[in-house]
Amino acid sequence: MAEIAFKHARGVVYRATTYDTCLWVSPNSRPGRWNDPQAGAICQYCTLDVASALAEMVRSENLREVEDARELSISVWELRVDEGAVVDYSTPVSAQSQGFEWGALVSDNWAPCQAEAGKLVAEGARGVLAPSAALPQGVTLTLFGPRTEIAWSVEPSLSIQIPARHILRGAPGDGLVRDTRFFDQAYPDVTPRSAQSLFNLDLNVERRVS
Amino acid sequence: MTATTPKDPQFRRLLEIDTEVEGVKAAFETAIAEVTAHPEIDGSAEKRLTEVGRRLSALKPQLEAADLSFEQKATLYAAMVDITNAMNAAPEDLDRFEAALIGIERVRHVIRDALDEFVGGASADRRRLLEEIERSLPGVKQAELAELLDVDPRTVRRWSSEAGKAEHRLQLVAHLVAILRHAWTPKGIVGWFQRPRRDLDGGRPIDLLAQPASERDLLTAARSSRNHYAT
Repeated sequence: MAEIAFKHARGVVYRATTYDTCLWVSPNSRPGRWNDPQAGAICQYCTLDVASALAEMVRSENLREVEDARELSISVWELRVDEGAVVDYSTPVSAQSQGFEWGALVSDNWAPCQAEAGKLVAEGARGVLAPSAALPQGVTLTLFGPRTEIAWSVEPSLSIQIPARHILRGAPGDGLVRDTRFFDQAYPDVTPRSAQSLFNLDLNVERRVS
Repeated sequence: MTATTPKDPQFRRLLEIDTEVEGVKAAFETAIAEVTAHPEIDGSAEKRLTEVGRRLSALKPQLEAADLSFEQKATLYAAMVDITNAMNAAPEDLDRFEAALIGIERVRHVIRDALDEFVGGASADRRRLLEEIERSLPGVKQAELAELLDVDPRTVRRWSSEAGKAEHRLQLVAHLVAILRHAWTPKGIVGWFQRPRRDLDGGRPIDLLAQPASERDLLTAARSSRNHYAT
């Protein structure tokens, strides 16, 4: 088995939600790429840019027509994360060097990623960076476990607290809808952007597990 | 962000609980910040936790009387047990603060969800539910509403003026609209019912409204448009 490198991730990430809170303390009730509701896990789905958060909504709601997408009214939150034990699968090289297939990260079949999440959590991972299947070249950060938000200007006292603030509300732009990759569409042949280029990801590996 | 009038007694009760739980959470966060910044005055930690417990215990009768589903009550009770356990944990157990905060937040989320999806309570009759739907869907044609409810437009007009036991489909549509109004324009809500969905095995919500076995899936699908996941 290949070695998994835990990194420290520090920076701003985004989340689209219309709830009055952007973070969860209870298990997710529906499946996502990194969680199966049967497993009772908690995943906090974030992205490294606003467009990817909205594209994930467009893809999951199957909004293939711009006229339909214009009727969505969604809030975007900004979160200031400072998390250790993050696994970086944001590029084919980083994923494959740690023993995980790049194709599974953008596949419509979530089972391999859900199983991988279970393994990573068991190894102590607190999050995973991965490509956005909805927006080619977008990057997601999924945090494992419960988190609660605190005011943007407040420093966290506990490791589960994340400063967060609501930054905008509206519909995805027409261009974003056209750029979104829907289910059953092939992932385009584009060079993925490294999380490093979008995010303040510490280069130094905290520790390795195998 | 709700179409329901705050004058409704059940809704008002939920609002009062929500305000109190918010207050408990804020007081707890302040206490944690002080305790972690000044561990030398740590003697206050137990007092703070006891105060949180007292305030939450005082809420129990209100929580029991609140208009909540069986599932919501189960979550609530589990969270209360977790908070009690956290408060009774050994002082050297540093995880107790996180466990207590998670418990408080779970209580808050249950109440918040009940408020967000409130449509007149369990006893709401068909006129009341229709009123709620129409308030959330201004500008939507009565024919479109009739299609959602699978009745003749004349029946919709009659229901608007006649009290009576609400049909199951009307209750379900009212509940779905109460969820969807947080993320969609009125036109978008109507469109949501017509679009095939992957999480409904390619089915359109409107085609599943008559199937009792699909009710839970429909509610989950509606809630999914309130927040993004990695897909």
